[in-house]
Amino acid sequence: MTPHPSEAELQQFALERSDSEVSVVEHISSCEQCKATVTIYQQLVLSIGQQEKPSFDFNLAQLVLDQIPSPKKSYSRDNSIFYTIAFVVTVLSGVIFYWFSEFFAGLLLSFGSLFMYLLAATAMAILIFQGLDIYKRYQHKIKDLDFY
Amino acid sequence: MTNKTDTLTDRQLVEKVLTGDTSAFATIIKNTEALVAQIVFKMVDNIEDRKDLAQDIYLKAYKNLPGFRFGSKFSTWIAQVSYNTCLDYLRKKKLVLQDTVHDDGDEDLPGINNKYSLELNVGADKDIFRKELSGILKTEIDRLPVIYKTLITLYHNEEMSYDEIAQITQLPEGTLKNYLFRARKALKNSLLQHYKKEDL
Repeated sequence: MTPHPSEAELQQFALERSDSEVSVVEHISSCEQCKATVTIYQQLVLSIGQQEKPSFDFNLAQLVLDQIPSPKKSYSRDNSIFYTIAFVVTVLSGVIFYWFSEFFAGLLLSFGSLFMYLLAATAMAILIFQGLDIYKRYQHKIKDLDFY
Repeated sequence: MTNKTDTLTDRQLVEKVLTGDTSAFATIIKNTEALVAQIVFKMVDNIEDRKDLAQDIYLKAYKNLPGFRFGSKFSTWIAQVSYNTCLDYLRKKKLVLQDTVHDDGDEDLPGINNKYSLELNVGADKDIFRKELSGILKTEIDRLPVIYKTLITLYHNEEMSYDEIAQITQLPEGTLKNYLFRARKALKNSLLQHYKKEDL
């Protein structure tokens, strides 16, 4: 008789007979000891598969939902109001600039170049701060996503 | 009464959650909590901690849902979150994931094997034997190291593939198979020892 198969080979035979080598299959078919071990493994695996599955004895969904911040309201209505106001303001601004165009042109010419540079520098500073803020928020969101 | 989100696919449920539909997330929880319970129950003994961890797992999943790209099955992803959360818990508590299994060897077992196989074949007592075996096995599984009982449950009770379990635990497939082999062997030896003691 061939030597007894290893424990791993016996397990393999018990789990998936077709994956076993012919010599292993032949040995087991003629060896009562190995056959008994295989039977134990098969019974073991069957019994594990039939083990009662545990379950939580509380309403998990409710507990979790209670901790989730309520979803943001739909802003579709608010958005339409916002766009209407923006449209009205834009039209009014256009009308005012059209009617008082000569006055504004005279005003700008009277300020001189120093004021214009100041205005440009302020606008640039605001843009830089906004850009930095957007970048910080982006980094923060990426950090939140990376939890592993 | 069925909820309107009950029949949706995982992808549809995730999309709904991302648009702010929390009832879809409740459906996700109901669909996956059995698997989460398996992992939490196998990895954590303390009942109160299990409750906190289960909530923590789903809060993490909710927070990270926008990052889920369906690269794996949704249930596998949730199981991965569960496993990692429980692993963090074990680390914080300084509990051991993998302990050594006492290997009794099989040298003195052939006679017992024959006795055992004989018992398996007694037709009339089969049901009683199976119930008894199931009870003993439950106790013996609980005695296994955390990683072994988790793997053996996912593979044999949840019928997950090696690939899925490897994704959940981040263990190489070879290691996974080795742990499963050792766990089955330990359980077999424990069962044989149990029946041997009864015989004495």
